[in-house]
Amino acid sequence: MTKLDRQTLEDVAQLCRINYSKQDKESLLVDLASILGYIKLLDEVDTEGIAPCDHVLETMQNVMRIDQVDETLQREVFLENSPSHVGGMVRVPPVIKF
Amino acid sequence: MYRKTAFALRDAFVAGKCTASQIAAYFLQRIQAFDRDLNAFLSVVADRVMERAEELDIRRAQGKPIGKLAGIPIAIKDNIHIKGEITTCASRFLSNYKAPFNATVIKLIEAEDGLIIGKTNLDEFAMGSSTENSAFQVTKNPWDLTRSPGGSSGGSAAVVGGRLAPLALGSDTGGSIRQPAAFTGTVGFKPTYGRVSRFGLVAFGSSLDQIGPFANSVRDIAMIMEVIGTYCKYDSTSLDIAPENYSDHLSAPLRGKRVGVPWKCLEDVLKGSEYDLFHQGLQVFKELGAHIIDVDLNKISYSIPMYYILSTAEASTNLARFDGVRYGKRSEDAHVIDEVYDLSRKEGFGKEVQRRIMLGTFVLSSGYQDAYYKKAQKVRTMLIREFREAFAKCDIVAIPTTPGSAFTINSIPDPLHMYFQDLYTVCANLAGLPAISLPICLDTDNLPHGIQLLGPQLADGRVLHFAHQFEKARGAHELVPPLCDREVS
Repeated sequence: MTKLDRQTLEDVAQLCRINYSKQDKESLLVDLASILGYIKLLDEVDTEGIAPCDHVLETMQNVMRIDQVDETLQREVFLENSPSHVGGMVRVPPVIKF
Repeated sequence: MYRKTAFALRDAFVAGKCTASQIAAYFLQRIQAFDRDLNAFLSVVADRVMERAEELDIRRAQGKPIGKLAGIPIAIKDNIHIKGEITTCASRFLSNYKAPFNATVIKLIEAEDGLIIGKTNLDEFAMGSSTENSAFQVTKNPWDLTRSPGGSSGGSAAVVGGRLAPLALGSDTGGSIRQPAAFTGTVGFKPTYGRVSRFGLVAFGSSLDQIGPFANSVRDIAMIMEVIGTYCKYDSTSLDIAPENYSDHLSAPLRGKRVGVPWKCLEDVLKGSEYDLFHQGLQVFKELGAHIIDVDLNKISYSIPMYYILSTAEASTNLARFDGVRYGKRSEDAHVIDEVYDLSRKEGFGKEVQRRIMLGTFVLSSGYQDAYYKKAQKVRTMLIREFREAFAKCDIVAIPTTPGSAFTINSIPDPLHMYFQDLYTVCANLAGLPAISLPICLDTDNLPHGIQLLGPQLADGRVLHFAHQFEKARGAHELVPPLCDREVS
């Protein structure tokens, strides 16, 4: 397992889509170094030939249903929680910066 | 009335000894008296509960059929949706979020006339073991107000422990029902994965989460499990099996039964008074005629690393939906779409949530996924196998619930140190097993301690049976914290 360096933290922070401050990142570097250091314990386990667990209960199967409209969330109910809406649509700031 | 079990309360209601309105008013008064010290509730739905209680009283008077949970006030962890009420998940991100639908468990409870009384405090998005990570308030332990009730379902545990309601629902991803149950002297049960619907539970770790009950007796747990433990078509991981009758299978003696203890993985960690108390717990089983046998569950020692890789990975995915676009917090400083995501999430999420998202994203990222995520998934397969082999030799596994009693609030600032609180509990989530924590006794500091019982997958009834026999023999469920052990006029 690898150590977490500053550049890797920066790259991962971008993926998280959280605007971590400089202070946050310093603090995370310390916390995560400690946590990842402990997680290294898993390297002790020989997992050769072991399949990753994809479901906790072996009997479970993927579930499909008939493509039939059931209960629908009403637009007005949905929009009640939206930060900003206009004409029945959620309004967001510009997606493309000019 | 606060000393009555939920079962006895319902009986009293059905027999006409008290009305549902009286019961609801009584517990609302207790909440008013004690919750200013406990801070267990985020919201109390007084009007709603009184309305439903009155309607239930009318129906009873008319001789109409009444449900299995009739007249029982029930508190709900605030990560479970009640239509029209706020679900905050104890996060600033969702401080004004009005749930647009009912969770399946809510529908089931209300169909059986359970009286939902309020939403309880938790660690933000169920991430934590102390309820200190709530964005709004810190819940106190009714046994000692300077101590944590545990987490993440600390609010629900404090409510039931302090007898502010006889039943509560929590959620358990790595021990979030069982650990607070141990800290508050209550019974907390995590069902087999898939037994209770997760529809309407805000997801944290989808392969680990389960909703489960808190109560002051195992019979009460059995009663509510019979209502909520059923197939749900809206949850694709819901078990397609009929609901079970637990209440009729609690009384058979345990003579000759085998209780497995994984001594090897306890020997380094279990010391001093914890060791003595655990032995006291095992002694109860011996006196009931059960045999204590040694089982090999060495992979339990790797539970914490497995859990903090898998749960944070799943959480990073589950919390990606909180993007400031469609609902929840949107930063006022966001002027372009990227800022909507980055600033809203920065402002809306607390420190622990931000930390776990970072960890989870890292272990899933390109170049690290094999070494971390896939590795953890492989060890998980091995843990599940070990449990299966252990259950070929024993009927139930017994381990402590927690490494110690309730710690003082603010005494564990280091995140890794806090993660060790989950040492004994996460294995049940990793393996999908039913698991319960029940009180053994009080220690010399007058604090409760729990013992944990785990069963094979789908053996929820067996776990409840063993737990009920233990409880009958031990009697610890009669304990009430001195602070709350009085009537409120």
